[in-house]
Amino acid sequence: MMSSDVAKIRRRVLTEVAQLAFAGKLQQEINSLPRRLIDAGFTTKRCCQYHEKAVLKDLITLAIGVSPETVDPEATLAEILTDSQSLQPAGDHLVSILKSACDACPIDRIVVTDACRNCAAHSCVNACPKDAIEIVNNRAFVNRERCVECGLCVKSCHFGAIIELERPCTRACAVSAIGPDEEGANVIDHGKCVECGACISACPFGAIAVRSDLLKVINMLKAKQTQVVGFIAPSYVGQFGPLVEWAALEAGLKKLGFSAVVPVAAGADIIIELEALELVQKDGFLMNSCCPAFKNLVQRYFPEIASHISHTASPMIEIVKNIRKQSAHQTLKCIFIGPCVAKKGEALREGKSIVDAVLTFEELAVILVAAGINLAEIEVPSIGTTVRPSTAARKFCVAGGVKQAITERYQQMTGQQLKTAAAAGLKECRKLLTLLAAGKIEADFVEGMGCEAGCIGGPGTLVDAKRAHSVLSRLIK
Amino acid sequence: MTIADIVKKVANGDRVIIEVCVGTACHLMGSPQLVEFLEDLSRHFNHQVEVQFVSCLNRCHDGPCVKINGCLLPNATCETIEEILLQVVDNERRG
Repeated sequence: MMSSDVAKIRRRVLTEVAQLAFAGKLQQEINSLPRRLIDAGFTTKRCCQYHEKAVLKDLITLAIGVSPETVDPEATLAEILTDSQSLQPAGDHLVSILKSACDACPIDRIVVTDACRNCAAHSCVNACPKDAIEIVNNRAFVNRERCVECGLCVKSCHFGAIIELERPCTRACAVSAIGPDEEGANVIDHGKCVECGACISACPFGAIAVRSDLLKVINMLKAKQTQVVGFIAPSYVGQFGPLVEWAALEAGLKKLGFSAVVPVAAGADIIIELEALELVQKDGFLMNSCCPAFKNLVQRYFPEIASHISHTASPMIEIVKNIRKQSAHQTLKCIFIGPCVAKKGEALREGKSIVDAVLTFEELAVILVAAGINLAEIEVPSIGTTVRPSTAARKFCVAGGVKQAITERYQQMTGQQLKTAAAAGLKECRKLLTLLAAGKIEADFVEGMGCEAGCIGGPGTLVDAKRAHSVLSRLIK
Repeated sequence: MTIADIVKKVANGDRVIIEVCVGTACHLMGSPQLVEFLEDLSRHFNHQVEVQFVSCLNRCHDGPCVKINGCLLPNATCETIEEILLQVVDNERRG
């Protein structure tokens, strides 16, 4: 979920690309798409047409599955599209900052505003431990060479005339992977990024986006000889509006051309069993492996405790493997559909050659709309899926859900209680992991969720976490 | 149709019925935010505003769409809906 105007712009662009792809006209018309959108009055709210066109070009590039950072800026969209079909996308560069859209917003953290009256108290000067504030031209002035950005002057000013600014994406990033390049626009250090996607929702300019598998999936659906299976993450509940439940979602995907639709919560049921068993057999604590952003965080920043991550694969990988085993079909394509950006990375690495694409709920809705399918009006067959995941597995998508499921299963197995700890949101996870690594917290099972509120708060969702949570608690008792 | 036109039409009758399209196209373009806003609003208006979900208003390219007492409002935003309702209330007050 994100600022709705920014989301609307991105969704409109994705929908236009998807429509052209379904019609088989993408290659011919992609170059003229920015022009056509602008002529139709569509705006990305930039200063001029040139800027609009540049932003649209970058958004379209991401929509066809290519990171704008990796293409020749002189290449046309049609050329980028042609090249993309012969290349396998690299494992990194999943999340991109669009140079065209990044506003390179102010970078100085402490700013003295016009409200400064050069008062007699000079509390800012007195509060500053580094003597970084001088009075210049009848007004406080921050000497950047001395300022350590502690913020004491901000608190001390009686007029509130000094403000603390931080770029929203920089603030959202729990691993400090976002910083300015030599021109002042922000860039992502892909060596540090754990792909949580928090920056995507945070940027008010819509300048951060994720490479999409939209086109890949549409092409799979159009190829009649392939069988495409959709794997729906447990957080789907409530995501497609108040009139849409599982049966409608399943019917909609089948109408799109999916041959089968599988709830990933069925994979979570396998995980509950395996992780509880791991706990029975293991010395020391265990951490969940279902959240790829959390797993990336541990592996990259807390390698000394990375061996405590459960060796069980994620529900996505487990259920996809399972279905592949059952199917005799040679050209089975497995698509994960969820709220998650980090799953796209997981699919490219752990899921290589078994998970063929990952869509967010937003991207799925885009494909449905482009294909003219309205889930709220779809005819639902009287016999639906036979797979019925447990209540505990269906709650994997809410912060605390994994912990609860594992604890309950462990207790059934051993009759003993588990000591647990949990955190949701990468910043909180980081705090918890710091304490854990230092041996300050004792726990048998640790649940880490990259997104606040859990998967229902993911960057690829369509409704906000609060609403999703209330729908979930109504449906799953 | 301008906001003033909608206000004129809505003004007769003391109960306002707002139909929000929750079809997939409107949902994608922002009806969840409208629903959130309207449910809050209907509490403020002492439930004289009734919110209903509909599956399609046949203007899928101009979503999100709502109908206020039968008048279609395409590209609806919380702000435009609020403005219409406030004007309706104001008109009633003036008689």
